[in-house]
Amino acid sequence: MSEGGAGDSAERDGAADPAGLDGREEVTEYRQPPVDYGAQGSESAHLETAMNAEDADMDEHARSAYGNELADLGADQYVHQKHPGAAPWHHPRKHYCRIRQWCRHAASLIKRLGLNRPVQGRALRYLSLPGDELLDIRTLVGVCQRSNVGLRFLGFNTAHSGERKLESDISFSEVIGIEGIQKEASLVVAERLERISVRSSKAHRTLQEHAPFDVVNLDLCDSIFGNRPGDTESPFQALRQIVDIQAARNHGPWLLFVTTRIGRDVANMHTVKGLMSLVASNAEDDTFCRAFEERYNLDCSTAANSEEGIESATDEVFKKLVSIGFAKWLMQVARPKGANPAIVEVLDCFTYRVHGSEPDMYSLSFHIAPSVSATTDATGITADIESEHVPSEFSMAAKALEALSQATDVDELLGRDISLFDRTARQATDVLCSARHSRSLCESEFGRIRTRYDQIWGGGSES
Amino acid sequence: MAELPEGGGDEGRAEMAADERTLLARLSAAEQTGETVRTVLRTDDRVLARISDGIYRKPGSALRELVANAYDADATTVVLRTDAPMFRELSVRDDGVGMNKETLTRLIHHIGGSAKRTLEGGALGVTDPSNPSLTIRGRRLIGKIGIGLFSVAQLTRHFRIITKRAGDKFRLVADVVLRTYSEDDLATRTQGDSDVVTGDVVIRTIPADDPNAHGTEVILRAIEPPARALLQSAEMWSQVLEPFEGESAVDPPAFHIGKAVDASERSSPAASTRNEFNSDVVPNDMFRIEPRLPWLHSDSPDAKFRKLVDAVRQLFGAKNPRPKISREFDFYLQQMWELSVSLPLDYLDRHPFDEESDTDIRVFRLANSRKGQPSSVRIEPSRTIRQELGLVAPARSHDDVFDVYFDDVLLRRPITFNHLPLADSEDLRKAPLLFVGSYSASLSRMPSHVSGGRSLKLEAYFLWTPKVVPDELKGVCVRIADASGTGFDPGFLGYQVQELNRLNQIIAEVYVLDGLDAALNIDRESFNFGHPHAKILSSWVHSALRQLATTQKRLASEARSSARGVSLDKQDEELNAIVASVTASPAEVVFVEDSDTAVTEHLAGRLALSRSTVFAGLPAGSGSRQQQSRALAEKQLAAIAQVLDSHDMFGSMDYAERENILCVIGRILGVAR
Repeated sequence: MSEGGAGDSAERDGAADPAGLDGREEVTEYRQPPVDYGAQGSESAHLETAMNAEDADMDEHARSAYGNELADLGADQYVHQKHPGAAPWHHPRKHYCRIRQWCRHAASLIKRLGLNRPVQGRALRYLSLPGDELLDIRTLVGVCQRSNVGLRFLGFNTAHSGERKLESDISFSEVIGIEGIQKEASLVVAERLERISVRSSKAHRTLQEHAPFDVVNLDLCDSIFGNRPGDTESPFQALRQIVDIQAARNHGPWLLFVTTRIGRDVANMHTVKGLMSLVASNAEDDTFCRAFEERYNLDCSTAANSEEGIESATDEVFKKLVSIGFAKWLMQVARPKGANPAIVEVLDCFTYRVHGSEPDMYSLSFHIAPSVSATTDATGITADIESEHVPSEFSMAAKALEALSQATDVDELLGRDISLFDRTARQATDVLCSARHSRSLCESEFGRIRTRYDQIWGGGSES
Repeated sequence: MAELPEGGGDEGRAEMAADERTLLARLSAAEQTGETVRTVLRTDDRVLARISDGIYRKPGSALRELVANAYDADATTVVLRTDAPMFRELSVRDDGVGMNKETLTRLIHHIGGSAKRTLEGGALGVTDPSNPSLTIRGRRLIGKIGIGLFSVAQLTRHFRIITKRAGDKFRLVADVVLRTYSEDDLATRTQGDSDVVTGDVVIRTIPADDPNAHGTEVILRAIEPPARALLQSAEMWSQVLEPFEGESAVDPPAFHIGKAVDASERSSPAASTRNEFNSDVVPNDMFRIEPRLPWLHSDSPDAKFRKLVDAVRQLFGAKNPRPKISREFDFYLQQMWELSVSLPLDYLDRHPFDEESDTDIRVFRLANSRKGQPSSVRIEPSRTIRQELGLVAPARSHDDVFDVYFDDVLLRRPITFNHLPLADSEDLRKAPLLFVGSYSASLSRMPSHVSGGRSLKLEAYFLWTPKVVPDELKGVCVRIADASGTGFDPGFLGYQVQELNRLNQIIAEVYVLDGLDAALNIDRESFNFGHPHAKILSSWVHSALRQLATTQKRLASEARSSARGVSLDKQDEELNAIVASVTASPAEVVFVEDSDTAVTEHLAGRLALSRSTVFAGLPAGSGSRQQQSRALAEKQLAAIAQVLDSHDMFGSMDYAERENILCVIGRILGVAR
């Protein structure tokens, strides 16, 4: 589900990409063909075969001594020169999201929390799905370095064996040595994030040990809406668990980034209905309804309140409805029992195309600030204290609607402003090179993507 | 006399078979000529094969050895990570100098032939160019022959090394799979086979974009089932949860890392949470028993370790008069404890030599002569024991940081003098005593192959305190290069004197500043007591123990006498007060030796009791203790007589009858005949 994660089949194995914007049209293999390691390689291959004792005729005493997992010498096919652009997370537009969304908001949060003041001295606490190459962390650490703030991360990534494990080990070794990373406290665990929803799991405990976080980044390749309501181990349930832990720790304001596909083909309709009911609940609020009608030219209650409404909505409206429903869901759950609701604000929304000609990948950012509940005095001896002003859910939802309706189509943005594309591509190249990608391969790959962008949006000719 | 060349190293090994043939020929010739044949003893390479397969006895050794390697690589921070309680994989990562192609090659092709300690080490940049027994930073090297890495065989046969040196534009990634040592093919091996293959290695050179980065990570993959079972405390949990028929269930340890659901439990429907989303993964990451740890998630790494040490102390007295790490902790926490004891770490509060004058511990300086007596040391205000006695251990510079994190817990040496009973407490016998010594054996005039090394220098302390908690700190811990694989030896290097009780009250640490290394067996977990340095060390330690015992006995005896004096006076006062509350003018009661003297006293109007009658047959005892209890009995009987007399209870009884009644009362009290 994460970059390079085991469950991330959606982007990697995805179907047609008419616009060809993920830069893969000529590339079917993620990696280059195996490199011949000569004697070493063949010896290890021989060793693996020889050590496959699965079918060996052993009694239980013997099995307890050897086990079933016999050693393999890892990926012999590891290549020096990795091919950039072959994976969606190598794409410049993805890097644009990293910089303009994740890093920009993290920098503001660092200032707001005062982490950059010498007395604070606390590191930024970051939870993510860093994939095998930890590209998000490699990027975010720059913000921390400039603010003179440490970065402490917890990553979930399921690279257990073979080539992915090797890449993951090497990347971790590179990242942990970067100045500013809290090397004794940062780690990537070989667990699925979804396991955090199981109370007795190691993943759950690891999360508890490292919470709370200042920034949570769920960079999914699939859709967070793809599971049935009530599925105990889904990304959505995992998010609920995270929000719950964050609320329970009564932490200060925090950022949530969610990257998810949105579309009828990837969403579970029961889950969608649940989100729609939240949107429909705002139908009685004039401000919200007016905003809704203005933005989408649709009656809010009709659109969200009936099955026909959802089904008849255009794909674009469907995506908007789901994203606003998602924001409202966050507003619902981000409140500890009996406490005031947290103030949930949609910061911005970036979109791009993974499947099809319309944006289907959403990169959403939220600012979540727990509000403080005033004490009560039932005896009436003391006068009530004026509570902190908490905006109503309606007004938060209206604001969210506003922010979501102004989503940035990153493909189009970069396509129309090729100089911005070039700048972003250079930055993407730098970060990929830190993960051992070849600069020249990056440049040629990104050059191809540039041409495609230019063909579609003509930014090159304008500039 | 014919001499054969000594030959050594690789060339020597390669020619071994030829040497043997020559020796054989010479012996045959000597049969005719009567010539004496002189040669040298040689060791077979098979020994090394056996060693690299694992001479270590405990899985914990692997962690200790890997951290020791990090120390030798001048690391300042070591991070040890496990996925407890599953223990599928472990890693040890450091920020030391790392390895380049040359050092990695050396490591892989010369197991047991470490460049450490040799001039080659300096040339390879792994040690101080001018002193190969020091690291570049100036630390005394812990490792010596380069087999520490292979202690991982205790845990797994497959490990990955990722290493980089500052300035290098690449990382080296080596995957190693060790071969299990087998003697099956011994019969087919030919004499002189010198290259013993002990594993298979794949090395990758990975380009690096971060020239300044340096360090090494060792990832132990696919931990083998027996090692996992041990790390998981599987046997303990099976006794707790599913004792065999006839066995009674045992209590879980006070603290533990929890227990994972194991394979057999996973197959039950309750444990399985497979669903559509993760149908390809059978959960193997669940806790059956949640961890019970003495710290909170939110505690700092330093606070976590303090709480661990505090928890042990608090177990004492709460329910357990003799807490043992081995019973109160699961294997995981035991490893954490053992590492903290054995590694060259900072102490929890301060080094024992850095205790200041305001501690209430009485300090003595140990004599180095075998019959010597310790001398009392006065620590001047705001000075430390170190300053007063000119001690240097652990002989590392103050800015030489070495922090080891074990799953977010910052390890410290778990020894602190902060919670000892105070010297000014009521009972002086419980006051802790600290014996400090330094010793240097002069062996320079002896040839090295006899002396076992030209110098042996050490500093040490022996702390006597009434209760050592936990049990695992009882004994002497010998540290070489500030590290110890032997831990606390409760037998004090074979001390033969029957002082069981007193030996249980001693924490001692010996800091070896020079020498002894050669007496340490190669697993560094035991000493070769045949080596002269080990003999010298144990002789010195035993002398120190004798000095401690004599002094402690003397001081305790003095304290006892003075305590008894104080207590007798106090009881006398109390008895007088009781009598005074009954009568303002008590009768005079005296004890005399015999009946004749009693008569004289009676004539003087005093009630005299004859000791020979009252205490007839009871041994008076010559010890001060018996004398004190006899004196107390007399005072009690006198007080009773005074009370009876004040109420006229004796009536018309004569002195003999009165004496008789008091004898009876005395018998009831158990003090008279």
